[in-house]
Amino acid sequence: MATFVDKFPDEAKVVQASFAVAFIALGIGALFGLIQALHRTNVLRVIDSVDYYTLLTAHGVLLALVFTIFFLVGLFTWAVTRSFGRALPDIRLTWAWFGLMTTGTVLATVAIVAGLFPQIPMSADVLYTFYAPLQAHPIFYIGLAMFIIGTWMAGADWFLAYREWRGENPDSRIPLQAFMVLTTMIMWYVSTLGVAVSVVFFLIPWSLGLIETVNPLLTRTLFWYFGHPVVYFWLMPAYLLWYTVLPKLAGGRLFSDPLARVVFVLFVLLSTPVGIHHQYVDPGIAEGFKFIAMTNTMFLLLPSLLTAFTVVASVEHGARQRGGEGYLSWLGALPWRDPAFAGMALAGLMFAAGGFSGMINAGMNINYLVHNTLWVPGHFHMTVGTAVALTMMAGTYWLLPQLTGKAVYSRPIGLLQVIMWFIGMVFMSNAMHRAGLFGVPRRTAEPQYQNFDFVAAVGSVGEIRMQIAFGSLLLFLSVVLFLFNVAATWADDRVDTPVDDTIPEPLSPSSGAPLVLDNLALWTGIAVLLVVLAYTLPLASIVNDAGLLGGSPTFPVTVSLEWVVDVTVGALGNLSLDSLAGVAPADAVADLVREVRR
Amino acid sequence: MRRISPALFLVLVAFTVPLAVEFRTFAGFFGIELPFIAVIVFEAVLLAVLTAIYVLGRITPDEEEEEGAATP
Repeated sequence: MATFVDKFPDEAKVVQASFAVAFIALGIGALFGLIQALHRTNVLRVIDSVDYYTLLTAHGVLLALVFTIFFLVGLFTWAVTRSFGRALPDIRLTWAWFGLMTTGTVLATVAIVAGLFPQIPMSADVLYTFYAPLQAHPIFYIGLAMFIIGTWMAGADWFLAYREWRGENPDSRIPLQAFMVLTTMIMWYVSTLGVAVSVVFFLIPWSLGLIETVNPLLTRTLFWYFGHPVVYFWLMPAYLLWYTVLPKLAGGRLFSDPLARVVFVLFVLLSTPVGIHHQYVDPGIAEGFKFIAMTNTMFLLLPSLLTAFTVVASVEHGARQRGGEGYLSWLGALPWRDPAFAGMALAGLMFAAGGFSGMINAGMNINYLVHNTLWVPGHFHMTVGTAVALTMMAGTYWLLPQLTGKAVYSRPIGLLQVIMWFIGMVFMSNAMHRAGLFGVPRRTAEPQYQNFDFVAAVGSVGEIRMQIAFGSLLLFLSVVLFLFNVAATWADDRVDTPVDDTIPEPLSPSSGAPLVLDNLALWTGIAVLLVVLAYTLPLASIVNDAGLLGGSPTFPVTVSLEWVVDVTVGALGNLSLDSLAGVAPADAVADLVREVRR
Repeated sequence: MRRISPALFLVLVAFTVPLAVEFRTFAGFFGIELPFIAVIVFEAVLLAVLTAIYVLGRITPDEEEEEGAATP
């Protein structure tokens, strides 16, 4: 039976190439994650603590940006091609955005990893949040800019495909997967404007020395304008798989197409005007603006709760089609031996836990308790690190056979891999959340302090550290198994029917959805309006306070302590018995300091 | 006894981990302080129960399942 690679061989190559880049980034990023976890838990130290930030930046950029977004562009290319049932308008454009994104990724990665080699005059230890006053080498920012422009071109490619399809199908509803892709890209265009302005107008000129200073709060706010919607950019591919593939794998059909469309429209509207909730402790933003961001954030719970209902209802329908009965015993009738299903189901379950810790992050007052503690990485390892990453890995077990015409090398290894990820993340993320409640800080190679002990409510800090180390080891081994399985699948021979790639119609089809849901221009307009309302006054206030270019110098800076040493040595030189007769040493030091200052 | 597949058994084993990890925290809500060894014992008990269900399901499956009903 013909599958995707037989029908659309050119597009299948692009999707395979995108996945290949994503999985290389996953392997390198996971290795760096293991090294960090073992380092900060003091289990095994193979790097210097100074290099910790280099690895942390590489871990964040390679996993949170490169792995997720390259998988997304591959998945969306598959979804658009498949759901419109036609080849992309111009495959040269498709390869162009892939080439631009890959070149940008290589440049940014080289700039980061060069930080490990002192002989190379280049570094980018700015973490994946890359706002000022931390400064990276210009190559890093230029690489990121190319990467983002590449995603814009990818979106244009998919919108062109939509235009062609619409020309031939003027009265049809947009196919659900294509609708999900297009709405996600609208959100992406709106949200990446912030980071594009920050990178192109401030960070690149600043790193090239064209301007001397920047306004750190402005670049920070522009980053978070993009930094929260990017969370949904990671999440939407997972939602696409949960809505359209998971019900089929469970043996059933999507419960409601209209509800799925409503969810994606809500994400278009609400994803961007909430970024200030990442800045609750920033002193330059008025509390009122933060309160508005918190309120908007709480509204964002609605589409996630709708998703929980729809996906669980669809999976239950599948289980009952397979003979499942009772209130809960239907769970036993699900196809747990399929790694694609088991991985997505476990990812969805962990997303529920991550959603609860996210509500705590979102609340202004309770956020102060956990801000900048290990709680926060604990939260996002559950969400992007499991809900998204595990869904992408699990989805690969279903997608790769369609893209290559080859059956998955080993489904038992796949099942072991997704379960190992779940268990590893339970250990690591649970321990991170608990450590955050004790006040253990994030983003440091040396979380211990002299003359201060963190107090664990239950258990001990040592146990927490061991949980983090053990969990990270399991996660790394899971990635190794995944990459082995994928590589072995790629190297295998083609078969006639590698996978059942059909997706059944939803129980409640698109014909029941109000037509207005497909009015993409309307939702774009409202989204822009909400962004203008949420951000105009805060940005005006930030620029008014410190100017467009602010006054912050470059960090990290080197502070010379030479004069302090000179003063101290000079003062000690005066400490003869004779001099002590009339001049106190403190006075001598004070005199010398005054002299040096002059 | 209902027969469970090796895959479902593995998934249930995975579910025991968060239960065991949070067992002491749960006990702590009621003012009961448990040592670390209690977590290991609790996990061992959960695994023993699961294994017993799995083995019994294989030895004495339900009549319907013996007739060839699908199990995941």
